Amino acid sequence: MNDIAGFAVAPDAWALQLYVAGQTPRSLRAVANIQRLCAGQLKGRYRLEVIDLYQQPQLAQGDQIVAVPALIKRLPDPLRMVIGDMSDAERVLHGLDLLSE
Amino acid sequence: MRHSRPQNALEEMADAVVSTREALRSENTVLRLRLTQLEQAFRAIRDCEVDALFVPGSSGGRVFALEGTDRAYRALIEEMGEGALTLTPEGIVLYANRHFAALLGRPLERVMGVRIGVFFAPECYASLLALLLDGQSAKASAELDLVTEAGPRVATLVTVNHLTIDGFPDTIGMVVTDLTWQKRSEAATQARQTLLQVIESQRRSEERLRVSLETLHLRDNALGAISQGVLISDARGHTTYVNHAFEVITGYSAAEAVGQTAAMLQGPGTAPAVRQALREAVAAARPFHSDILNYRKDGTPFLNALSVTPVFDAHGSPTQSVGVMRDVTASRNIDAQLRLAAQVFKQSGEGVLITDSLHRIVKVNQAFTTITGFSEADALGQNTRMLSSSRHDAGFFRAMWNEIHVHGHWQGEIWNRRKDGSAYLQWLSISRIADAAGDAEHFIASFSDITQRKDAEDRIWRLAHYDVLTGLPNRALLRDRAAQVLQMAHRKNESMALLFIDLDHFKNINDSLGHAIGDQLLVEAAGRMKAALRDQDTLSRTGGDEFVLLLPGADAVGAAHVAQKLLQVAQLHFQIGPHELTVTPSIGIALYPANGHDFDLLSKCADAAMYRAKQNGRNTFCFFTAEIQAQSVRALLLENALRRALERGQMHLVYQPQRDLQSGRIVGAEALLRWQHPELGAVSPAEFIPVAESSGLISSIGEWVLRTAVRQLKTWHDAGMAPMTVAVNLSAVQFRQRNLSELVESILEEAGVAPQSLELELTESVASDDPVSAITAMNSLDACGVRMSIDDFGTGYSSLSYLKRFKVYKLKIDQSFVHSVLSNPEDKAIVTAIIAMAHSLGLLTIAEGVETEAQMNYLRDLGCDEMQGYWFSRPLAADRFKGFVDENTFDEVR
Repeated sequence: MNDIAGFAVAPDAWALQLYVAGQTPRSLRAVANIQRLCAGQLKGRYRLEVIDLYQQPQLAQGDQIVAVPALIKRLPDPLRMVIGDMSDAERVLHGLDLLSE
Repeated sequence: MRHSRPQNALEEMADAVVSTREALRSENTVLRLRLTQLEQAFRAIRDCEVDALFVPGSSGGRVFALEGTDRAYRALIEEMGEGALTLTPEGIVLYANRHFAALLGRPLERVMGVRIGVFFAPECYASLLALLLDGQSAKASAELDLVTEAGPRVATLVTVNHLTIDGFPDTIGMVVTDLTWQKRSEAATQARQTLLQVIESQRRSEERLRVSLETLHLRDNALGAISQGVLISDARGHTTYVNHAFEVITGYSAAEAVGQTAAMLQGPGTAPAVRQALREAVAAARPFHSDILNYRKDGTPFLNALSVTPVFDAHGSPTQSVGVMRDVTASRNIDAQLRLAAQVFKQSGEGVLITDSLHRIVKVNQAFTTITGFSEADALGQNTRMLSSSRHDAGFFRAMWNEIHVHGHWQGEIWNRRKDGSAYLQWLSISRIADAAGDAEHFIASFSDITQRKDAEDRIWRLAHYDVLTGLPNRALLRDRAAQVLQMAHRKNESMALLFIDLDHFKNINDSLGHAIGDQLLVEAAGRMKAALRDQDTLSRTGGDEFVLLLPGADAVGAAHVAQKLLQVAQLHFQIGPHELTVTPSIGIALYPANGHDFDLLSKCADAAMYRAKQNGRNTFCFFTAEIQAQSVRALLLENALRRALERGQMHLVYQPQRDLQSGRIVGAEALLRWQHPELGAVSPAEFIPVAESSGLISSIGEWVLRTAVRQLKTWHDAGMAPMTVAVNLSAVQFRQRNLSELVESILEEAGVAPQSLELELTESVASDDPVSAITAMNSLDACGVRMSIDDFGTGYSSLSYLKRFKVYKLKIDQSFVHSVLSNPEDKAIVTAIIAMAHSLGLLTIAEGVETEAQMNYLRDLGCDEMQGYWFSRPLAADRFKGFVDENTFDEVR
């Protein structure tokens, strides 16, 4: 499972990107929520990037972002996206495939 | 109408749709994700969890802040890439955005208020209905085909939400996503990917191109800088490039050369074969390397060392050819000259050797080996001394090298040595090759073996100077020799004789017996005559049976003597094959200086004399003049007679008494030779002694005289005579005999006579001609105790200094002085001087030829010791001598 297309991928390497639009209370809440969640669930085995679309709108193009805050799970596959202020922990975990239905 | 459609038909369609849907579901995971995202976005927007919306666009994304403004929200809906609708529960379109209208290709106003079902393909109705009626799940979606106004269908993903919007319960929200776009997008991505790859590969190509260009530039610079001309031509042979050196060499600029063919460099002198070879090589795409005569733009030719190499593409087809050219006009000329020089060196018939400055051989050619026998290996490194024979002294080589150092060159004949040790004559030429500083660097010697040439020259010289038949000198050489002999005779004041010799009646032998016999006879006769002659004489054959003889130093007597001898040897029989032959020569004699001073005149005289000899009955010789003829005839007569004189007892001695002037006593006797011939009568010693000397008879005669005189003295002693000496005259020929002292000693011993009793009289000339030999002979005679005196003193040219060293005890004053000692004051003075000198040297003097008492008295008064002469006594026969002595002893007593 960990051997994908011949590449050894660390099982616990999570790559997450949080897209926000400016320093709004929601984006701050989103960052705080996701940080809390990752710390609790992923125990530090993750990398989180927060991208402000006002500053770097081009970074969102490949990901078909339509609304922010939006959290993208790049690794592990498959790609997942959660939109919102990440206050509903259960939904976030579900969106990131961390909870099974 | 659509509402009245039967229910079972719809179910059938639904079944079909389900199966299709299963197939499609697996293919659209990306679309699902997208949909999920959109749903999330909608939910988040509804739950007021969203700050802003983001719309990607072609010129960057746009962000729309929400802040609860409906307008912006609607704008979002309007702008989004999906069709968005709200429907009543019955399926009536409440709202549709512009994109949905665009999807259908119909105006928006004709979309709003229309039942949704009309926009979809009929086979999709069941699925659509199921979506719309499914009230259980919050959302449902299906892929359904829209039917556009124009007819074509558009594959879409239809998502349905049951919402409550603006106070309308059970409102249905629908999002229609254009799958065509999705598919197109995939294609576009694919295309873009391909494009990126194309761009990337193009970038790489450009990079490679740039590197290639740089390399090309570098190479172009390099090509421009090299001295060899470079020409690149295309497959058809047209020039595409030339470098700078090409321009320099040919005079054509690059602009002039490009587009032309290489033939532009060819001209009338270009060898057709080379031209052809080049054309063929280029046509066949083969490499070509050769010198070719080309022409510059200004028409001057140059020799081009050309290399053409074809260039092939990846498929092996020739695309270009590269020509590299070099102007080798100058170097090929030098090459050619060097090759020629090497060829000359190698093939020269002359031996060539090259040495360094120390005369060590550094190079030789084949002819050197052929001539000398030394191989190259033998010779290299050796000093040229290895070639020297010992035939030349150091002075020769000193002169040779001096010449080379002064003038840089020497040539001449030299004897050198072969490997086998044999010497050979070579014509040698040595040159000094100096370097720029003038120091000798090398010597080049070339030589040919001229031994054969020398032999040929010798042979030619012999042919020119000698008679082929007899090997005797011919007339030409005779003339040379005669000139030399005459010159010598003139200088030394000597005489010489020229004899013409003709064989009498030789013609008869030739005619009767043939030329072969005649020739043989000539050869034999010549050989015999030559054997009878001295080395210095020249016998030549001047033609036919004529010979000419040169006798250097000969006078009439000598010549007559030789002529006589030749007549004798010729008279002996010749055995020629079966024939026993005799020849009788006739000889004519001419004398220098009496008959002439040059060869031609002497020849005429000798020829005339010979003619007379033939008239005189042949087998004889004639002198040119009568007096000489008579003189010589007498001389020969005397010689012949003299030869038998002793054995026939015609010789006898007489003794003239010698008296001491002081005591008057007889102290000795001079023995005098007398010859009484039956026909010739009494012959004077003055006449026959020269004949005896020239014929060699003097030795035996002299010995006879000596022995007879000594024996006589012994007889007298035994008979009781008082002791006295006997004086014997010694001729010059006798005095020069090497064993003279031994002979004298043995005669004295044989007779038992004391040596002191014998006095040998020498003539002054004997002593003065060769004083050193005379002293040696006198010393050995003196050693055996014999006394010696000098006869005829005063007539010669005696050196006083030698006189002191001569072991003589007495001087005999010549009778010519004595004869007129009283009348001629000069003779008186001479006699006085001789006596005084003799006394001062401790020598005795004796006067001979004293004829009067007055002379005797006068001489005695002058201090002369002894005398002899007619006044006292004539020479006496031996038997009468004793009586005379006895009588005078009485006188003495008296």
